[in-house]
Amino acid sequence: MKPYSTNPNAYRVIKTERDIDKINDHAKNGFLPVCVRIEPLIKCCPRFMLLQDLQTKEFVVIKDNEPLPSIPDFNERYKVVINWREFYPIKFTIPFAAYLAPPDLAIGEQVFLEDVITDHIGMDWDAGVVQRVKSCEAIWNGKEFLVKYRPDLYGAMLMG
Amino acid sequence: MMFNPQTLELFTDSGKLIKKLNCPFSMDWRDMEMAEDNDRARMCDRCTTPILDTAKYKDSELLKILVDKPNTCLKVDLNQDNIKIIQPKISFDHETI
Repeated sequence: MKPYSTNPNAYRVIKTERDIDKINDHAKNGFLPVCVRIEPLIKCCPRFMLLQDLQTKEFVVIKDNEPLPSIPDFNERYKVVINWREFYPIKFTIPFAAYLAPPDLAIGEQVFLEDVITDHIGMDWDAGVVQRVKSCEAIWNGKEFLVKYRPDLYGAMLMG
Repeated sequence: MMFNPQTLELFTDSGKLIKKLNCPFSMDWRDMEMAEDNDRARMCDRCTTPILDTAKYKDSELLKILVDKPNTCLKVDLNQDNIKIIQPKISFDHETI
């Protein structure tokens, strides 16, 4: 369930920049870069396992939502090189990223963050796989974007 | 506490099963009113029972409540601070991961 991945309310789209030179370029060009610290949340990271095919010597990466190779002699054919481990799905070379706020953004305007910097957990209902929420709506308060994350919509809130 | 999103089972940090969530209705937590006698719960209109917010309870409290009343409803948010998400185990012939 990813209801916000396509900007259903057609709000203005706010881009994210993760390269400091490009952030500076946008600042010079009139944008207001809103810098936010990157704090990886380990519990929303997907997991992987690294296998090696003992016949071909090739390495195979298996992700959370992928099935293991379905062959009868699996244990003879594959060696587990790295057991299930979480990995942060975002590449970053600096410990922050910036939302590129356009200069005409009005306080109180609702927007669509195309690439959310902060980590929020969503869930694939069918497979029960935990995943990081990529896009989300937010509201601009003049200083920062208040992310309007709704765990009920992303399957991250459960009752029973 | 720990939660397995595939089995919907909620455990204490020590691994004791608290409850398997199994609400068949599509209820919206935000529409529910606070329970009159418990500021850590909201009332479900469908079943007229309180739903406890697990973010505001300790493992031991929940375990005691569920032992006394196994049908007590719970709310879990995967983003809440006091929860660890656990993944299902995958078994091989000679090892368990």
